[in-house]
Amino acid sequence: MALLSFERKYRVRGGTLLGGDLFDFWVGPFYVGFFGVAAAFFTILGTALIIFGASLGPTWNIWLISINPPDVKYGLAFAPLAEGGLWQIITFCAIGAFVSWALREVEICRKLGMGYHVPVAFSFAILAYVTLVVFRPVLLGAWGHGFPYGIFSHLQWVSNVGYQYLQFHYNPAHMIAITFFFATTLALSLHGGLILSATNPGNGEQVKTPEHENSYFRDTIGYSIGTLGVHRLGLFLALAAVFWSAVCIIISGPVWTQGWADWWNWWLNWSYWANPTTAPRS
Amino acid sequence: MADKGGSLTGLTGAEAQEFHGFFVQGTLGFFAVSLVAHILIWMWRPWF
Amino acid sequence: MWRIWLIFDPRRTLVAVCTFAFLMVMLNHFIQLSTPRYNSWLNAPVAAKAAQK
Repeated sequence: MALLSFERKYRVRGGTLLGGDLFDFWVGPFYVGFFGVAAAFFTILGTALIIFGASLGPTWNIWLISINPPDVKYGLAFAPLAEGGLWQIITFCAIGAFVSWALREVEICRKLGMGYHVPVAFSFAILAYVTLVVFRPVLLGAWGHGFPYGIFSHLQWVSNVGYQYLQFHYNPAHMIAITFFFATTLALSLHGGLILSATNPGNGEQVKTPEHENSYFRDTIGYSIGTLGVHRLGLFLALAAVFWSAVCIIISGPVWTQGWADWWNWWLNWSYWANPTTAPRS
Repeated sequence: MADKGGSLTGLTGAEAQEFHGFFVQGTLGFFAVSLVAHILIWMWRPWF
Repeated sequence: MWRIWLIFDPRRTLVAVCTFAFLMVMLNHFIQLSTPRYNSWLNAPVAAKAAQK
């Protein structure tokens, strides 16, 4: 692959966190670095173990292949490899690969003199995954509470865990997470529509400037957050969605074990309406 | 570009030969360790 | 054979070869440890008896 004319400028030496110059090179268009090697290692090893686990399993149907976590009876100990131990090693490989990728992003940020926004944002996704397969299982006392690695099986796990709490949509943190997810898509659609409109004017018209964009939102909703601000808002909304997703599952079990609708009983007992004798008559 | 004398990596013939010696040595060492490990495992619990 | 190092960069080759070798070593060990015969690491008493039969 040919080097783009401006690309040589960005291929600067240094900025590595580990290994000095040893891994400071590119393969084709891709920077390697120690964490590139580590990410490739964990990815290939984990994927190979998934394929090996599938070969032990009952099916090669891509939808039905599932690498299951160990039985709850093993607690937080190592399980025999064919009975969930593979899941434990694959989980370790996955976390190793994700963290290595984040640190490779840090090295690239340092090379380019950028802020660490990209690795920080990615680390929220890692946090959500680690919450599901490490923090929550550890708090509940068994690796068996992690989710299985399979296309259908992980969806069934989500469904089953949801019904364990009867009405999961009453989980307050889940409500906040959903609201942030929808707000993210709304903000992205507003922003994308604005940019596409401004850069694709009618025939004979010039491409519009940020002043036009500000005017549009000042006219329609009374306020424009601005060209830089909208990206900060988008980052906040997306990260908040992921953060509250992690919160909503970590509190399901370790904090609250009943149906989530029952959690709202605090509201019924909260104020004067809890006591009928003092409640105002309607 | 300086003339590298037919070398794409910038190594001279002498440097390449020196590195090759270490590389072969390392490969043989790896094979030796794995051979000993296989012999020990076979003595402990043969697989055929 | 030494002329190969005039074509392939020794540093990249070492990184690639060492990574690949370690990868294969780890994978083969895990596969062996998942078999009943060589599973004495995780559940030693059960597996050892099963293998002796």
